[in-house]
Amino acid sequence: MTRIAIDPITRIEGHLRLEVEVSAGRVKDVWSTGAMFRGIERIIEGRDPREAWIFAQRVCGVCTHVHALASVRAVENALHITVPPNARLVRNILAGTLAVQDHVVHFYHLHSLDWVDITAALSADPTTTATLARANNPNWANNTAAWFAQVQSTLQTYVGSGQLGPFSNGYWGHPAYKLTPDQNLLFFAHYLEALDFQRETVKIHAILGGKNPHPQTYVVGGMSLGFGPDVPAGANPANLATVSAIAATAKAFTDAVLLPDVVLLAKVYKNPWASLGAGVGNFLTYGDYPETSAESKGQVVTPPPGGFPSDGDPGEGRRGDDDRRNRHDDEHDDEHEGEGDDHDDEHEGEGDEHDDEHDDRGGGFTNLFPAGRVTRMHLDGDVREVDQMHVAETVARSWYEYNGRGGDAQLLHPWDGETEPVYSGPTPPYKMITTPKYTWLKAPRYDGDVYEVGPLARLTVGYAARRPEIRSAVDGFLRAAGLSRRQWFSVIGRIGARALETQLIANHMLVWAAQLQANQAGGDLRIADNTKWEPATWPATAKGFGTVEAPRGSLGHWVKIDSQKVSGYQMVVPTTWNGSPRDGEGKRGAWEQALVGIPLVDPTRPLEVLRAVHSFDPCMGCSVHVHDPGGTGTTSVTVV
Amino acid sequence: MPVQPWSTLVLGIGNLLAGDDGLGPSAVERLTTLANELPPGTDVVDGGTCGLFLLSYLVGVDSLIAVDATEFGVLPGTVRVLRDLAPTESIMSAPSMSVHQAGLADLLTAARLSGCLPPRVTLVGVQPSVIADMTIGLSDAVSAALDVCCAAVIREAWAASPAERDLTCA
Repeated sequence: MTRIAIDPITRIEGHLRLEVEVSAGRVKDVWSTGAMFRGIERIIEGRDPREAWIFAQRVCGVCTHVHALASVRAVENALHITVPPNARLVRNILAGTLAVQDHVVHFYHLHSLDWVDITAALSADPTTTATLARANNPNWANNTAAWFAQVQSTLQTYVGSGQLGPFSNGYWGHPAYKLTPDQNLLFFAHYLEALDFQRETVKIHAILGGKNPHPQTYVVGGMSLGFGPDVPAGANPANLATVSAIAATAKAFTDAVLLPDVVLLAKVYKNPWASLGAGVGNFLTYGDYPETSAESKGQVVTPPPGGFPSDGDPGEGRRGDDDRRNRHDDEHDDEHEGEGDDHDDEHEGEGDEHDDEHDDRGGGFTNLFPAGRVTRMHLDGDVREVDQMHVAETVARSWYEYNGRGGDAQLLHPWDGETEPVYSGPTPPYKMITTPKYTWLKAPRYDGDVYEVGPLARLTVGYAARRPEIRSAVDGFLRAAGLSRRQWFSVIGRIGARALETQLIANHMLVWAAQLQANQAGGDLRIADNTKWEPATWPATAKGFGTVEAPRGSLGHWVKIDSQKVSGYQMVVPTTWNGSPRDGEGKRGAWEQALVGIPLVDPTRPLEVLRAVHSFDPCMGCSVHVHDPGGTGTTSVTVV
Repeated sequence: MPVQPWSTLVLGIGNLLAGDDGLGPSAVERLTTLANELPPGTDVVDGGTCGLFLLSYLVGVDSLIAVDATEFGVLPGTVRVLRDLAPTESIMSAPSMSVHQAGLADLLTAARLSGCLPPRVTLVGVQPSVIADMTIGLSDAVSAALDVCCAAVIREAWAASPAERDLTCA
């Protein structure tokens, strides 16, 4: 594909760049360079805080909803606004819809081609592929030889012409591809069906988010959405029934296609990919998809001095004071051997229940994905609390300067954050960035430590927090794929976590839709709390934070309000966590660590690096630059 | 196949926070106020930078008119129309296509793969001057071209539509 010469650094959806040093056939060191969100703070500062979300959502083309949501939550947190249950449910459904379709698109359309050699699919036998499909995806109707022949024909039109179009960037024929021709064809067929899937699923956004792809229905205080039995558009009974029907379709695809496919991929590639790419082993999540309506705390709780009171406790995320929950550490250790076939059965019917066992402390949050931190890959370890006050960013190795006394290496909380760009990298065009500062991404840290965010973090924390449906999902996956618990922390585990999470969210979307319908039928039509809409009701100054567990990981927006205007705004986004550079102490970021040790068969075709970094679902196109000191020099490879 | 009314989709593509990259959304905003000059059955959508996620908007569309900042290598503000775009390799490899090349090309290719590619695809492109992140507002040159751009969209929409344009109302 031809690239138009726009400096990546000036593009919002810019490029991720990796510089990789290879030694003896393995990645020895990594530098992650990214361009993101530079200056969003300046766009929003000075504006009406009620309008901040409209600008914030434009920061990213794909993740519009999560930025809108984080922004309204931040302002609601600052102004102590509690959204009504119906607004919470609509927000959950909108965020869930994005997560489900985004995860499916990531797996099939962005990541699967790292594992699936589509050119090899041309030599598949449609008849035996159909047999494979009936075994792998027994609950999916499209499994006939005629269908796979048709898919093969579609593929042939691209490959046969000699011009691969969207597939022209693949490393086809690379020796690291391991699937059989039939397996490749099966995956490509589902690649096509996933296009249809996402096309349908996104219609929920049109119903609840407004007609345009950019959501229009968010409002500080709730949702600005028709909600009632007689409204002509928005959430009326007919449209809610449609939402339910689409959610059911999404669940069916997730159950019958996505999960079995990911298990198949895991079985084929677990050696070595279930033992590679673990990375930092520290996991953080703010928690999300609130199942109860409590006062908006932006999803993260800041404990008062002396700890939490007995009510208003977030519940999840704190186990250090509760030894009772630490006694089960080894009970699952023997369950992961062998290749269980009952994987799908593990998840049936779980969408209708939610475990409140650990959360019924009165008024606290219950999130589908609990907040917390797990360190050192302890799947059954303590879940430590997450307090947003401990999140801070350094620019020691980033192209910014802090004006404060502490210098660039200090860790600044987002409320005190500064965004003063000072480029000190090489003058383009360049081959390698050898300057001390090497990225536009800041380095977020929690208590100074590096953390991974995203699906693997969410499910690891949920597992450690002993959420039954999360434990069941993870154990079922490990059993079905024949993985040890240690192998959960790997490239394969990251892919599995994303698929399992898709299924969990799809299950719950049906519940949320049913709750909305029940509320409406029962006469609860509240959709927004407008009591603090007028700026005259606000304090002179306020500050708040809003967090969202976005598809790629933990997203936070921090806002300061002064004289009814935004006086400060900072975002810490998932790819900044995972793709962060080194900090002042030289600690590498999450995927910088995960890539070290990855084997490379052919440094000029670094497929293995892509597998590892794509398992994080980075939100940018990715160009990889491989440096081989002992070899023939430098290779630059551009991959989208 | 059931007979359905002719459907036109005007899809503005680009990022409002990136200077002239906001041409598409800005044109959509302008065209929304000119809705009665467009043929019946026309939807005007601000697609932002949503790429693949716009696929559902293409279902059932007879005529797609994409509006985008486009690198033609000419003077900023120049408006050009590319008709009957083939969403094939040619659009991927053309050296001077939309600066959202990946987004638009991916979208059209995905549409082709999933069988919802509109029969007619037109690109109304405007040569950008400044593409810079976190800059709201078009450059003077592109801003001045908005009227021409919107007029081109309206003309192309009618040209593709079977409906007769009643110029007395225009």
